[in-house]
Amino acid sequence: MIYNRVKLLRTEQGLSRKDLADAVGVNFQTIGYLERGDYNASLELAFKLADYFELPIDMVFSPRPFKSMAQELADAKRAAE
Amino acid sequence: MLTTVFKAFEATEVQLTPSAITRLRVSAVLSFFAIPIFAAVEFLSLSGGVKTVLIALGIVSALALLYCYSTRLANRLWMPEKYLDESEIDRKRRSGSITYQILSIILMVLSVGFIVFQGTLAGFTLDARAVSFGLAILLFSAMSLQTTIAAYIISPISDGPVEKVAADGRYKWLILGYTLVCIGGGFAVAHFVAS
Repeated sequence: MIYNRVKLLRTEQGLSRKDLADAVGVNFQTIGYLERGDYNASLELAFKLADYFELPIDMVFSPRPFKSMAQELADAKRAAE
Repeated sequence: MLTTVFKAFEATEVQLTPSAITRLRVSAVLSFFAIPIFAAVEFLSLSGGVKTVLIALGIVSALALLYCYSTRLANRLWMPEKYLDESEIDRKRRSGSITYQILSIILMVLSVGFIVFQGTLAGFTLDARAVSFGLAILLFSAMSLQTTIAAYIISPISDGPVEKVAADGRYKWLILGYTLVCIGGGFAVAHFVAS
């Protein structure tokens, strides 16, 4: 199982599934199933999505569940101190 | 050119609403029975009433088969992979693989049955009609099985507007109308054929 932040990143940018799907050249259902964890993206699509969001691939996809944003912010704050 | 044709029949939000997927599942399951029912009518000596009911059911099932194979999602199963999206390829391969496993088991059981009961079966003679119906049942079962499995693998993608479309009452009337036409038409034709 590969976890992803596609839904979070998409909604953050105010995009519909169709907009994102068109941008990376897939059908909207692939984005839908990817967001729900019903489907694991191919390596090509994973790179396209990371490129689209201008993030390193491990910020978008991970083999472990992502921490919540609140937890990540707290961790970053603690590290900065 | 084919790319343009296949692109025109891509699945959209409308095909992935909960009601559209339920319709596909129901029609896929119903489509199993058309050929076996017509085979039963052809080969069994049935009384008029039973025959009428069976023909009506067969016609309903045949209409369901027609509906099922006219849907975009079912059509995506036979398209060459180069025209499909990666999640569709995944669904096609998964449903194909499960179908293959189930058919292998069924054929294995049938083979064992033929071997065990070969003494009894030796008394029967096969004619061309029986062989063609048997092959048709096998072929359509394989097709319907893969379509049904794919219809159960796929799940609705709910988004704001899609939920709104799915909740729209028009679809209930469409399903009701379609069902009534199938049943009414089926009985009318069955009565005509049986009499």
